[in-house]
Amino acid sequence: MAYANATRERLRGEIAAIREAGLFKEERFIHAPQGAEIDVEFPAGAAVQPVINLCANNYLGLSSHPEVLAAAHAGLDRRGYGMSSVRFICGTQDLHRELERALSTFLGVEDTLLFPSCMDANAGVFEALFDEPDVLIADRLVHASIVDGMRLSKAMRDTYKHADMGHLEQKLAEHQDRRTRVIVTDGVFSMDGDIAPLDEIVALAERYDAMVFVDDSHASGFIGATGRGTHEAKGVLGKIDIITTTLGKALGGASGGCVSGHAELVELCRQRARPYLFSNSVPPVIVAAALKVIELVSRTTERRDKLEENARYWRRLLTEAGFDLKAGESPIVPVMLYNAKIAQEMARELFAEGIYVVGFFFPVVPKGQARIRTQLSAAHEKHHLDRAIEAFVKVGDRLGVRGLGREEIAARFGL
Amino acid sequence: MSTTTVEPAPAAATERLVRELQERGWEVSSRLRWVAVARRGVEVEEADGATCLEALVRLAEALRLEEGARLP
Repeated sequence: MAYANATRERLRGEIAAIREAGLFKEERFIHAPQGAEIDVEFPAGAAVQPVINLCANNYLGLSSHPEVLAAAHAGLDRRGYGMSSVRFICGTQDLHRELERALSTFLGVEDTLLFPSCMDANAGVFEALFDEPDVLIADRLVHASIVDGMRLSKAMRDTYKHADMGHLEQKLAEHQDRRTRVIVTDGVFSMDGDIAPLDEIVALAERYDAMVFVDDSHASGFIGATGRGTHEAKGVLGKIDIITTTLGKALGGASGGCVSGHAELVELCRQRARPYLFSNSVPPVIVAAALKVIELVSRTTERRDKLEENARYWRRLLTEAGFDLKAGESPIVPVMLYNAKIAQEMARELFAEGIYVVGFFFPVVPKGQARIRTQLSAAHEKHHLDRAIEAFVKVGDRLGVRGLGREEIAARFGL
Repeated sequence: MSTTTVEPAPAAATERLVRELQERGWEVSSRLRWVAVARRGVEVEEADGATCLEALVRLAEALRLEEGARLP
């Protein structure tokens, strides 16, 4: 074994540095299915505590929905547990193709290719489709997986300031000599919950002959009147060239992702995208359950309507209670505390009060922008949110932050 | 018995590598590029370009993407 002491010491030093920077991530053990109310062991070895979950991506509350569970069981019985193969050797079942067709119909595109995750979809799509003569122009706050995917492509990389259409236009004009220009954005940004101005982006793309790529992971299933995503909400259905999204959030919450769009683009991903070519197929149990999820969200907008109502209600409760929020319409509702220590303390005290939220601070969010990110679910009932606001008020009073904006918090606690 | 290894001259090594790649069907060319490097603690980022300015511009763009605050 060549695991030298020097290596061990170096790695321990790096772990210590992560702790010192306040970036150490600790897992909390959940002793229940995912849902609005869960049982959590934290710290490890502590008594299991029932809490209201306000930090899952379980937007539509389908992670443990009985019909989804039944479909998963049936899928397991009918098609087995694992495929023991990548897709193109002997890992494609009828269900995989069925799900790809269902996702294409739901998203309003020509074709879809499943990946083990949206992380993998984003890691594979750029390298498969774009090369040296092309340029990828990304919003500076795109998801980390897009950053990695862009790095893997030989295309030139450029950026525009977050949601700044003037800056994007300038970049598009600068790159008119490139073979292909691709505007790259998230549909809903996970940090602030803000929605990309896709209507304006599409207009610029048409004016400057560019393609549009959208990662709609925090939108598919619930943003837009029928939950198709950001392109529906912004009135540009059918005008997005490439959509990547996940089955790991609203659409059942298990795992799996996809690249969707024009048939040729998808086919080229099937031929070239390395995460697709070299990873096992999405397991049949997940595919079967995801098919049920697509059926459920296509059948009725009841759950996305309830989520929208929950988000509106929660925003109103927090605002009336004197908390400072990031404006927006999505079910990602950041409660701004600005001061890192306050954000950490508030999250800890809320947990003790039975509310599971996470505090985020620099460098995960910009300096002086510490916050608690709350995420709503259609699984939440009004009584969950009423109980949560009571805890927020209690802890907010104890920490003396209720009714304070950025300037007051900066003056009283520093940033 | 001792062996003496004679290192080929750089030019010969270059020619050998090019020939080897050509024999595998590649058309080979090489050119000089500028490399711009940024370091901050354990973080390192680098980018190349045909000119020093191009390398620095690419480096700046790469860092803008890397430095952006992000949540899953």
